[in-house]
Amino acid sequence: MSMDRKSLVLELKASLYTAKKEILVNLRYPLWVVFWAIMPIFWLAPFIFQGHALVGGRFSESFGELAGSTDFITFAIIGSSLYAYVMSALWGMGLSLRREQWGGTLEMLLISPCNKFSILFGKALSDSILTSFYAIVQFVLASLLFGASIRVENMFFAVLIVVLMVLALYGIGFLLSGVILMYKEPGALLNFIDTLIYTICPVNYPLRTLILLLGGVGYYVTMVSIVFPLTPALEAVRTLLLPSFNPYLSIAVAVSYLIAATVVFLMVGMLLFNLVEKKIRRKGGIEAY
Amino acid sequence: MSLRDELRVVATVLKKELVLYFRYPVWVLFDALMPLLWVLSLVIYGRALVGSPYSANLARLTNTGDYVSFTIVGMIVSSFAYSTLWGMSYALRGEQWSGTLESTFLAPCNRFSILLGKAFSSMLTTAAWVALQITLVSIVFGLNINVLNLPAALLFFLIALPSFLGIGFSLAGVVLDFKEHNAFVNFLSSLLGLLLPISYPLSILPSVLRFFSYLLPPTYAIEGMRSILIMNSSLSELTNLVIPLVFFDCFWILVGVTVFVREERRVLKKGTLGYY
Repeated sequence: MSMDRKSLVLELKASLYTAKKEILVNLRYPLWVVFWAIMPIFWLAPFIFQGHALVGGRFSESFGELAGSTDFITFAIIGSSLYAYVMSALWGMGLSLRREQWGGTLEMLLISPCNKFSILFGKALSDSILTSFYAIVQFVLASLLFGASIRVENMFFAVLIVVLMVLALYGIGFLLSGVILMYKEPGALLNFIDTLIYTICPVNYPLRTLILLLGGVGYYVTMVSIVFPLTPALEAVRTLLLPSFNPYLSIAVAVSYLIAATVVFLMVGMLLFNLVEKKIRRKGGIEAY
Repeated sequence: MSLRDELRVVATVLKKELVLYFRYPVWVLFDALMPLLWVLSLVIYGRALVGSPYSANLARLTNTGDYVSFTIVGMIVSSFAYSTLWGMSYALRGEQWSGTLESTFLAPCNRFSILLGKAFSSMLTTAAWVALQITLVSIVFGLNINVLNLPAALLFFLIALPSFLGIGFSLAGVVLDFKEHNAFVNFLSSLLGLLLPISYPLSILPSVLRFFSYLLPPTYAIEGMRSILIMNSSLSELTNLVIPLVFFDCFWILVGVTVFVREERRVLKKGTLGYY
């Protein structure tokens, strides 16, 4: 038992060292850090300007009918802040092993005497820390530039929901790591998934708009959207933070979905990664890029 | 080489780039689908905000309340602008990765014929996806543009094209020397996405941003083509847009050629042309 505990501590240390190393590597490219902290504002701003052009202010009655809240700017600021975690899962975690391949260090990393998931968790942890920094900078900057009105008293619970979403995204990150390890060049796939998620998840517009605009097809698109952890997380966080928000999913349902998504995505992600790793080890293709 | 031979180089490079492009069908599929998703998200967002395909506020600002057509025309013109701006630099970067840039540049032809071939292939593929985009959007959401004005719109685009090519030459020169240009391209694309009047009129932008927007040739191209296709303006009514565009054409072609030639000389002297 004491041996088990010792192993667990060692695995935990492997994760923490991996996270520390990844953060150090990231901080060695300060321009990229500034880019990821500031650029999402450039992606959010066009939506806010478009909103101003279409409704002539920061409140929209039509938006209110669909979302409860008429304040489409706070709605979009919350959406884009949480979306930062999706981008991190796709472009950070998904690509982290690919970067080791580029650096020629993947083989050495995978023969180290620790569980490979300790390494993957370490990489995921570093991404979560950096992304939280980016999301906070983005939220504060966007609130200062465009104004946001939220219920600060519920912030603690909102953070808990975000943590749950991040755990579910870890599973998706593992899954993508496996796929990328197998197929190597992931640019096109990641770009497509990124754009698809941005379109079908309620980042800038309420979930009900999909059904309103696309009818029966919209209903199925909504169902697909709910499977992705970002959607229930956004519904729950907006219920907590956005005054008078009328969610499509009640907070209890959203949290249940998130817990289920966390379990399913983590299990599937780890399973798939194991399978792929074994397969490419047998082919001797770990270092090939 | 004679002009005819140089034109053949342009056509051959164009063909080679197209053959290469279609060898990666997954990329082709994603290139076709992604602009549709971008349009879809903007249209869904518009519908959520105004509840119908018509915005009274947009009509007050621009004389058209049809935000679907307004946005689609903006996206189409910006797609062409982006493909011309990035097409050459991405293609040169591809040659660097493949290790073929040195041998390509050893060919006894003008460098700009090679660059133009690469730019036109990128524009041609963009044209195909834009046609798909227009067809699907017209069927699903209804696109109200005056098809009879298409030749005038094309002529307006041709007026803007030299300035796009000039900027493209400059970026291609930068890639020759600095190699890894992804961060730069990402930054510039995001900046253009904010400054160009794609889904909103210029009057919405704060005055500082509007000032920078007026320095960008694609701004005039979007405004002009939108006026022609949606508001039925004639070319003679758009002299306020044509004059700055002609100025930008001369300016950017001069800057583009100078930057490219200088950067090429620099990497040749450093011996780093084939590096990646």
